[in-house]
Amino acid sequence: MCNVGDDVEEEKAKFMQARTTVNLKNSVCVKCRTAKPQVVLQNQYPYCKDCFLSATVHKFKALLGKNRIAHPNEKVLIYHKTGHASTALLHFLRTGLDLTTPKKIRFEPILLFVEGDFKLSVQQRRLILQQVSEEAQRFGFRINYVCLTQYILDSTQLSSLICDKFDDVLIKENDAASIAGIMKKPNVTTQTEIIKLYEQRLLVDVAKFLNCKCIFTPDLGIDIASQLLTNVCLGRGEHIVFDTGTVDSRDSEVTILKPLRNFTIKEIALYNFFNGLEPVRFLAENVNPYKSIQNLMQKFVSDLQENYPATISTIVRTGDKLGVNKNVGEAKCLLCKAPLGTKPDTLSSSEATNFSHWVSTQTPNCGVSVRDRSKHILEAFNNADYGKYCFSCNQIQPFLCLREV
Amino acid sequence: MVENSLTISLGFGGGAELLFGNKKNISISLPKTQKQWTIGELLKWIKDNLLQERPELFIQDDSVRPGILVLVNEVDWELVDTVNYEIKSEDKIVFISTLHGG
Repeated sequence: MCNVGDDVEEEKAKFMQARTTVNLKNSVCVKCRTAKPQVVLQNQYPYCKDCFLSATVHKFKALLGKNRIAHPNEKVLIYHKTGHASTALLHFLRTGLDLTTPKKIRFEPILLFVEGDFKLSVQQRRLILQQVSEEAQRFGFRINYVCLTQYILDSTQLSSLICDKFDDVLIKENDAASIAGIMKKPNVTTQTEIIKLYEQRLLVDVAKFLNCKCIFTPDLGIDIASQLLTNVCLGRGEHIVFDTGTVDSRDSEVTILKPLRNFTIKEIALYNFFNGLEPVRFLAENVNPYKSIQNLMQKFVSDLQENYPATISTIVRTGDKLGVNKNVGEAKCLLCKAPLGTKPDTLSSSEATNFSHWVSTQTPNCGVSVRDRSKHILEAFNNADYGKYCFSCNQIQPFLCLREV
Repeated sequence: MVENSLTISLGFGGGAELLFGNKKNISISLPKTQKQWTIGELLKWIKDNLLQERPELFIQDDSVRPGILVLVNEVDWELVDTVNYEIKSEDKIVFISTLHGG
């Protein structure tokens, strides 16, 4: 019997529920159940200020404690950026270090600020550097600066690029042009991807140079969620675990941890507000969300989050269920450093993509039988062997002018 | 004597101050009208009188742009009926931008 339409009610239940307006007028804090709430999380849970702050700090510590990546007295490189997330991260670390209880943080954080806002004016970039330096000083942390442009142009001179005074950072008017010069007219998506790969490599290089075994990045839930979808779109699905998981262990010496991945921007901004912290901000130029896949994903996730407060956590949790490819050899992709897969017995999705591209671009020889035609095509097909690059990097590698990568 | 203006203070943070000539705190007096001042009305007033740059980064439709948090006397405005909150004298209303990437 036809039952189309019978399951409409059930269908509805499968989808995420849209934001519901909860009447919170006379509510009390969900945690202590006594105090008057001051904050609403996920559009429905009211918290009082004290419970909110202690829950936030607990969430940060829980993630650190669960992973135990940073050991006592070890140096940890903190990837410092402008904005709420980094400021909150510094505050979490400072309060953790200043504790006298056994919960005290015992590793030594070293900040790294990567100067890469080459779309801004030199004057603006100098101002940002100065504000970042003041912020680090306020928290009492040692900070290093690196100019991303100089690193991309010549990564072999790393030791001369790391400065501990912000005045020493080399900022040039034509940095944007220099960056464009290393690529062969890529689209914005590829350009963003290339710069990100360099940034990632720079972090690992600096960590090794400064003897840090661990790096903390300030990525929030929204960054993780949009990165995950970006990876899927760019054929980097295999690297989702590295790029979005709590721990990125693709480098044998340096581990990257994302201690803020379970936080929403609202939690972090309110944490900063209640602690009287002001992050370094600047007016960025308007970004066109349709210009690159990365921007589009960011917009897609944040727009969805607005009405469906479970969006980000659903994406992040789904990503957490993914595992790494077990069929990998010793070889690593020269660009993104992710382990390269070995040839599986069955056709992998990248090979299937290559095959269908191959088939659809061949001119069939109509003079022979269909059987011979397909036989000929099958024989002529040679599945590209990504000896040096992973599937995704293989697509962006032709856009790079530098040969050594 | 009945005062004929409503004095409140506004706070801007997280980058929202950059749209207001880099001022973090602004004290304002709103003229008393027949109607009660709500945050919705205040937003229109801010747009006409204070906002200096790129209004689209602050206002969207009749509310703040998504990504801007509003706190009334340190309380999330979602707890006080958002744009419909009726402003009282001496209220402190803070706008925090959480817009990503600058």
